[in-house]
Amino acid sequence: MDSPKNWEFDGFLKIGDSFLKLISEQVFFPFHKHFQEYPITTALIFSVFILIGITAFLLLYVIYLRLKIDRYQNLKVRKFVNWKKNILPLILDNVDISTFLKTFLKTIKKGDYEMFGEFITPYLNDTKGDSLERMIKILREIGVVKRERYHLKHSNSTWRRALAVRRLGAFKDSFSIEALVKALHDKDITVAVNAAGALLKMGDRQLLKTVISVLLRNKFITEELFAEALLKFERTLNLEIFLSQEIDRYPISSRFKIINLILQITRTESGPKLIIRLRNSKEAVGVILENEDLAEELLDEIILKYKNSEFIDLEKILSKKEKVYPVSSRIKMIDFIGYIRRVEGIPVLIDILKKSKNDEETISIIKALGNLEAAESAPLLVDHLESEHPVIRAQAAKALGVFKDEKAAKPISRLLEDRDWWCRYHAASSIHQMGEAGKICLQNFLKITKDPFAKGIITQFLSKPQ
Amino acid sequence: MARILVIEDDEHIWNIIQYKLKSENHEPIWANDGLKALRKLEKIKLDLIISDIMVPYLDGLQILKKIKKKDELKDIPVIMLTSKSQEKDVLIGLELGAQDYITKPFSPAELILRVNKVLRSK
Amino acid sequence: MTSVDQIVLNFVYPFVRFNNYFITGYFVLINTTYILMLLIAFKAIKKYSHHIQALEMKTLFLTPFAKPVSLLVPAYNEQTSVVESVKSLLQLQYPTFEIILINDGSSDNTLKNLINSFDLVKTKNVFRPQIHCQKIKGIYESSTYSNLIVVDKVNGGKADALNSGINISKYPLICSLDADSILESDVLIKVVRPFMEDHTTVAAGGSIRIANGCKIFNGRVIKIGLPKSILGKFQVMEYLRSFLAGRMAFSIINGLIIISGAFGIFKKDKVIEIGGYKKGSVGEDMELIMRLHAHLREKNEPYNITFVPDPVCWTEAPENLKVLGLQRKRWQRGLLESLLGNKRVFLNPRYGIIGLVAYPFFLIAEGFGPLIEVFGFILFFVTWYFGMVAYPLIYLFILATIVLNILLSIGSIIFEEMTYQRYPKTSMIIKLIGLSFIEVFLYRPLTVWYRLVGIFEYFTGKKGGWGKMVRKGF
Repeated sequence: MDSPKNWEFDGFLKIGDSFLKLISEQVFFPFHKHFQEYPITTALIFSVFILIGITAFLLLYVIYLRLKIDRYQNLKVRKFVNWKKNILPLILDNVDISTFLKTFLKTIKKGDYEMFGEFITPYLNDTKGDSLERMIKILREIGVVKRERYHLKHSNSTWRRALAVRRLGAFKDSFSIEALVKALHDKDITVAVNAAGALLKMGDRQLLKTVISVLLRNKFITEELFAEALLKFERTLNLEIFLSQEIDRYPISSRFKIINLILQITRTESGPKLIIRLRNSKEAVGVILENEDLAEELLDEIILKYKNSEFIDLEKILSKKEKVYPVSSRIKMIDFIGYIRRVEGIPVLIDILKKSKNDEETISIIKALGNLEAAESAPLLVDHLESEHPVIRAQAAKALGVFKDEKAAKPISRLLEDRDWWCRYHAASSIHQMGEAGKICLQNFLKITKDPFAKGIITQFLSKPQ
Repeated sequence: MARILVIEDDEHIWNIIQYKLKSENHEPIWANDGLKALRKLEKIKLDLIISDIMVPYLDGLQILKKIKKKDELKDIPVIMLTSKSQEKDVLIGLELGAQDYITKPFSPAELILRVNKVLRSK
Repeated sequence: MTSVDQIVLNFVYPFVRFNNYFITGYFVLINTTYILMLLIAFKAIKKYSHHIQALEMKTLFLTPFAKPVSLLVPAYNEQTSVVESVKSLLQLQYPTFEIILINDGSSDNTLKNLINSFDLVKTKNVFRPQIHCQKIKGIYESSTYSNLIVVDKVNGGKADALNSGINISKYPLICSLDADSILESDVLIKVVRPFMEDHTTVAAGGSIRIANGCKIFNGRVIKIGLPKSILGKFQVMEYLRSFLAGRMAFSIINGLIIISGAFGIFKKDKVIEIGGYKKGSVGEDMELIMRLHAHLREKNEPYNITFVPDPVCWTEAPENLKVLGLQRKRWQRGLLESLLGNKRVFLNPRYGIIGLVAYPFFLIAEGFGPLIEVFGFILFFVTWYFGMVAYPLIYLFILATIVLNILLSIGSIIFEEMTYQRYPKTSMIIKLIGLSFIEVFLYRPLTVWYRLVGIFEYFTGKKGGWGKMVRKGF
């Protein structure tokens, strides 16, 4: 039976047929014929027409893109201004969470949820405490967190996963921990590093160990990326990670990575005043340290208090045979002691310096002694001013300068005429640091010396303001 | 009711601080780079300065140094806003005379506590 | 048949036919390469912008591991804009960097303006001469800005000035800049990132864009705009095409042989290893990179030279014909100098992609391209004279040229829109695209002419100079 539906369908077939025939006769066949006669020319003409088509299409696309983006941006700006005025106060005020959620869900439309996620994300990284909790609660309610979890598990594109990982970290989403740990092993380093950062933001020390071990095994992750991830750990990184047994099974390059990092981070604990601000439990110590007079008296007591297993491990490590800890690791550990100002390590370091036969190790000990302001090592360092290795000479001069011991000025001044630029530089710098006596020493030397380089470096320092 | 200069180039942090200070009845003033900060310091009488360490043109420490050199400005208390890895700059800042510091990310409530503490001790 | 007819038949006809194929073949080859580059660049830019999205840029530059950078800014007779440039560098957001401005024996008030604006004090600093350079008359430090150093030296040219800067610099990374470069504040962290992610990176460059028409205050671009003149607008498109598409594509295939001297970062020790910049070279930036490639390949050392599309350096472009001409001629001479000075690289498999793809491409398309184009034009006249013009072919040619130009331009604009959207007004985009319709008739012949003269100047031994840039100042 000829139902209207069938009739339309038939017509469609008929018209389609004749259209195709038209194209093949008017376009395809002539083209085919020409192509057989003049292949190159036809191909060229044909390509030009295709290009024109593509260009026209792209032109329209550009304009479309631009209008789309413009519209989105304008909308965004308007909404953001509105939300800043109305929603942000809700987040920052001490309102109880359920009332807050009710008000919020009334104010924002469902279609705006995605844009809202964009609005609130920068604030996630800037805040802590109640306000942060409120923000995360909203994001949970409006499904943003769920969406990111979904992308992490199911997205095929690497960058989307990396982005999801980063956001989940900002949300401190503990439900995603398993997925994040999996992402830690991802082939793409951005995903892995972001995953590390995300896991660390949650502040769990167990996770910290996992993260470190996975990152270290990935040889594509450079020290810088490693540091970037670890810096996200919001609590203080303690020695315990560094000294844990596990570090032994990592290759040298990895140990180097950890030590390098902790060097950089714990270097910030370089003043007693800052110890107060640490969020660990030694607050009483902190109070003492803030009062400078008290601090001087009680410093020994404090060191004893900190002299728990951490220090003893260091001693054990440093005195172990080189087979277990190759020089490169020992060097890094030595640097570390210097940087974290473990003054109790000074006798150990002096001991090793006396015995050391390795130039690199010697250099790092001298540096550490300088950092620790270990004035008692001065005589030993003066000996090293005559080492064959220019870096050792230079570093010894530099360390002696830290002690500001005028007695060292004379031996150091011999280095002013040294062949090596850095030796001359540090010699002059160190003597200069010794105040009036240093200045006089330099001036006298300037008068006697015939070495133009020596003259140059001395003049440079004498003309600096103190 | 204090006039507080906030030297910070991140708009979001400014939004947070601005709102919190206003709800405590203070008057927050924004300078989003070092040069603007100096101009505002010259023109307006301030009770407190909250300064990020890294702002364009002159960083927080350089501004602090300049403040401490001028008689009319050196008594204004300063709270530094820093990030975790800039803590060694904090030490320098404290030595230069800053009263206190807060690390980012910070709790807005804690910020207010510190602001009030510093204003009280003035 | 007259003898003339015989000559025409036996020589001119085959000559013309052969050259038709040759010219067409060249045209097709070059343009297919451009389109290929466009596609490669598309993929790369998308990947890069995703990569950036996934990172937390704000906190990145706070890492204590950010490698310190020494910015080297050679300046010659820049009294109107030098203070502004230095101000612009001072506001860069980066943990540790120093600015070394090298006054290359300017005859105007460049040094005086600097001393006055930044409270400079002459120091008695000494330095290690790791690379030879002309005599340094004085080293100045600023009492307000602890990371600003000004070097005053005897004139020696841009390469020499850069070398002296290297001698004074303290840090492991050096960044060469032009005296009128205006950098966006987060530029350093973005362009140093490749060095942090991959330790084999030895050099990186960013995009250059045209500052003419932008509102600049205190060394920052506050409002982006198009240059007033058509010439300026043509250059905007040109830069977009060559940076976003060209450099990006070559960078991905590891064949980047140019990093602009207006904005490029290098590992200092590698630069010193190859002896620094070549004194007296015209295109010292490209010359350095070529030698870097050659040296590292000869050493069989794995390395990476990359282009980062996002960080932008704004620079003043010439809006008057005379200065533009000087610039383009200089660029052509520089190109030929860098290429022909390293002939051993050409088609040499020892140099990988550089020798087999990048070098030949630049030699043929950019180096001798103008010659071929002019030849095509002359050929047209010859055929016209002999009445052998195949008009449809000519029309097709012209049509193809226009369409391809528009295609490449639109392609670049699409990249721009997809990623950075720096041009806020839609009208700007429309203007730029509109001009690409007529660029082939107005701007292209102009640049081909300048490049042709440049080739001629190179082979007749004209040497490089500073290149006069009449500064309007910001």
